[in-house]
Amino acid sequence: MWQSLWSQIMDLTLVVVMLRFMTPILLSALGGLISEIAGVINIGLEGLMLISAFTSIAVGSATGSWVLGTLAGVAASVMICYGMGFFSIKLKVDIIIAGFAVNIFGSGFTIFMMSRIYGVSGNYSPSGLNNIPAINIPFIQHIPVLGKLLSGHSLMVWIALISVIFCMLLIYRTPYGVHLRSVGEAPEAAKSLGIPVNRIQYSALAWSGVFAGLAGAYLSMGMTSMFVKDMTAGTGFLALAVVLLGNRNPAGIFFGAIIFGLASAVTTLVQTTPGSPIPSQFIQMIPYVVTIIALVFFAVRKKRRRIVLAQG
Amino acid sequence: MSILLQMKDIHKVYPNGTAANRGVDLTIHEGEIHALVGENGAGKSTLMKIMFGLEAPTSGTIEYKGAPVTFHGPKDAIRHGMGMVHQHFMLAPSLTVSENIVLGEEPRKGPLSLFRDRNKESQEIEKLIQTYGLKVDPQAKVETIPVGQKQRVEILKVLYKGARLLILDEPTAVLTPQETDELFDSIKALIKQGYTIIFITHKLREVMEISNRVTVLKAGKTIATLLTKDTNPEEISRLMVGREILFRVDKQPSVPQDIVLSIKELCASDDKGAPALCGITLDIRAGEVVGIAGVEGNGQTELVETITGLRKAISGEIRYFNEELIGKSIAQIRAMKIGHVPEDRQTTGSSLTSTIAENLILDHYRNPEFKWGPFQSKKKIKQFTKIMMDVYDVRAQNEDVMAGSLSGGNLQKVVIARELSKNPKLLIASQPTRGVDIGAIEFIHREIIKKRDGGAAVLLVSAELSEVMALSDRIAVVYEGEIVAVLENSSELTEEEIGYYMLGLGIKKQKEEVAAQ
Repeated sequence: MWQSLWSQIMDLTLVVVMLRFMTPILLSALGGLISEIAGVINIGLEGLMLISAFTSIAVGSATGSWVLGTLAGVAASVMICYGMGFFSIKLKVDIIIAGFAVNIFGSGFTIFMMSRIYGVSGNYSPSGLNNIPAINIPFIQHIPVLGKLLSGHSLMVWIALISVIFCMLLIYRTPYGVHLRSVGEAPEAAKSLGIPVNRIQYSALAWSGVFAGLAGAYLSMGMTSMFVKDMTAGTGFLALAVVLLGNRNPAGIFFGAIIFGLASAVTTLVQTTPGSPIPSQFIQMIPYVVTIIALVFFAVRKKRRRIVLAQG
Repeated sequence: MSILLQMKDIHKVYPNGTAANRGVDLTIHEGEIHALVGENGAGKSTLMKIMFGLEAPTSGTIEYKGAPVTFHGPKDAIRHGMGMVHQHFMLAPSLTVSENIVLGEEPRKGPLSLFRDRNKESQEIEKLIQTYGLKVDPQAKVETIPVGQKQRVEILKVLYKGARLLILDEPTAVLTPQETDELFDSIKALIKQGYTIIFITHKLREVMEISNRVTVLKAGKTIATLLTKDTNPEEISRLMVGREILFRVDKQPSVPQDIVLSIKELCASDDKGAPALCGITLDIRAGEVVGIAGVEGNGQTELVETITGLRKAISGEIRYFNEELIGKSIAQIRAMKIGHVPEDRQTTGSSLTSTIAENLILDHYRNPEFKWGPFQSKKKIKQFTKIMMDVYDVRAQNEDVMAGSLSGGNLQKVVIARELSKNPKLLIASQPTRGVDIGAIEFIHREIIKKRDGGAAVLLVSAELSEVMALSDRIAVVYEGEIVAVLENSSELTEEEIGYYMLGLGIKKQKEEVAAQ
């Protein structure tokens, strides 16, 4: 068993699988990040991803176009976010409660729609679905190591990686980014300078909808070719852990997502390796154990820094 | 000098009926430092909010550079070249100094660009820092710099926005003396460059040191505008605290008996951990009212909270009939027949979402007189409440009305009823008549005197000097956490004399006398 696992690490299968698992975590964590920075942390990522996953596969299979499917998924997710904004910003409902509502709604609504539209209850896998395409890079795909490392990944993997850079530019290099940060941290100060606090917070929620939407579309039309009820299985919550772990900046979140992607990849590889002596239930715990360890690590580091600050 | 800003007959009545401004006139000349002084609640902050477009006046006109203007928000005021440095810093801690300064008007790479031009940003800020000598590191995060520098960031912020008229709202409240001196240097530098400054404060030393003219507000009205060089601190303090409403309380001279409460060398800190009380020593006897006079924020709140167990003392002792109160729980202290009317009836004094009946028995609901076996007896509570509402003249439909729906005066009567009905041997009344109508004020005053005549010791704290003078037998004046004078209340005692101590002038004079000797 160890031997076969080792060989998979050596032939880069682990990296490829890691990238597949990392993508939805990374995308939704970036969404969570922008909302967190603007002071309206969106804990409804899980529900948003489910809604987007279902919407995109439904539209994708009906139209035969993955582009339309993805756009529909993102649009649905953004719409729900505006709804969250209406309740939390306009009607002053606690944003955490609004997020929980979205999570519950996302799970229930997608199961309901699946049975209403397709008459199935567990999962829906349309035949002849046009998945989000994989990008095969000419020439490079034939180079032994580089080929496997760079070529053949889903388009969404690349979008996720580009999104990291996009978010860095957005948050640190644009006036809008400075406004986001000021609104999240000192809304009174922002208001006194004429920055439209509410509008900025709406837009931050919309961004979280865009990224959660992309993550959801990838779940049903990239990573798999089907919608399974509650298929996110905690990805949205992992993403929230990554937001905290990544110290509220895109680069940190990228590394956080890699750690969790790696944990999930190891889980999968061990599970699919024949003759594993470890009970599968224990293996499946790995990502969650990593979450707990990561959060403890985060808390300790934060405490230490506070002590240093207090002494300095 | 030409007139830059003129506010005429400004009135502001808030929806809840509070009249914060009742006819304010203010004229600002170009290039002057104009001090605006007045006690807390005199209407300074409201006036500034109106000036800066944060609030609309109920009536009155504002003229800026000779033309009438209406500001619909701070943006309008900023566009006209006004800038406000708020008392509480309006800064985002994790952003850099430079990001905070340009916030809202970031330079961009070209007019249509989406990106910040960070080179231009740092050049412009460097230029500002050089021009005005406001030294601060533009790349440092705001959370890492000291208070004095944060204030410079605030000033740079309004200068960057192109302000020519700067409003500084109690800028020295959070500064050390050295930082204050540096601030004054910067202000003088700004005046040389043609800026105009409105300086809000209640520290007269600063008024005398830096201003050209001074306007005194009292109870929402302009009392006077004076040339600083033609006046003196005594005149300003007389104008600031001068008597307006006369409280008339019929009372006999007090007959003080044994010491009830004895405070020795008491020290405590405020919510931020800064020292708020230092070395308070005070005795209160049965049958007398001791009033605490002082400008708000000089330790009165902390003193009351420490005695009643809401705040931990750092050192010293508080003896109540020879029993130490420090270290006892709030419930224990309340059980010792100590009544406490808190300064804020809405947050500490009552539970707004409970009924009148529940509020009246809040601290003695366990008392067997309200019980039926192990249960609360609704009937007994109702009986008690009915009597209380009758005796203390609480006007409400019935005893099940929510406390939150009562008017200020009626709610205060509920609090008074609860605290007085337990026949306290010591009554601590903090702002007992704040914001209540004249009728209720008279009633509450009578009740307090009744308790005194019944042999209770009373500690009265009030921001209203005339109230302190009307009720107290002795007056202790606090200034910056210390008792600077204890005065026997007699007909010879004037508000001016108390005001003199309230503003810390007494200490200064003593020091000068010591120095002269």
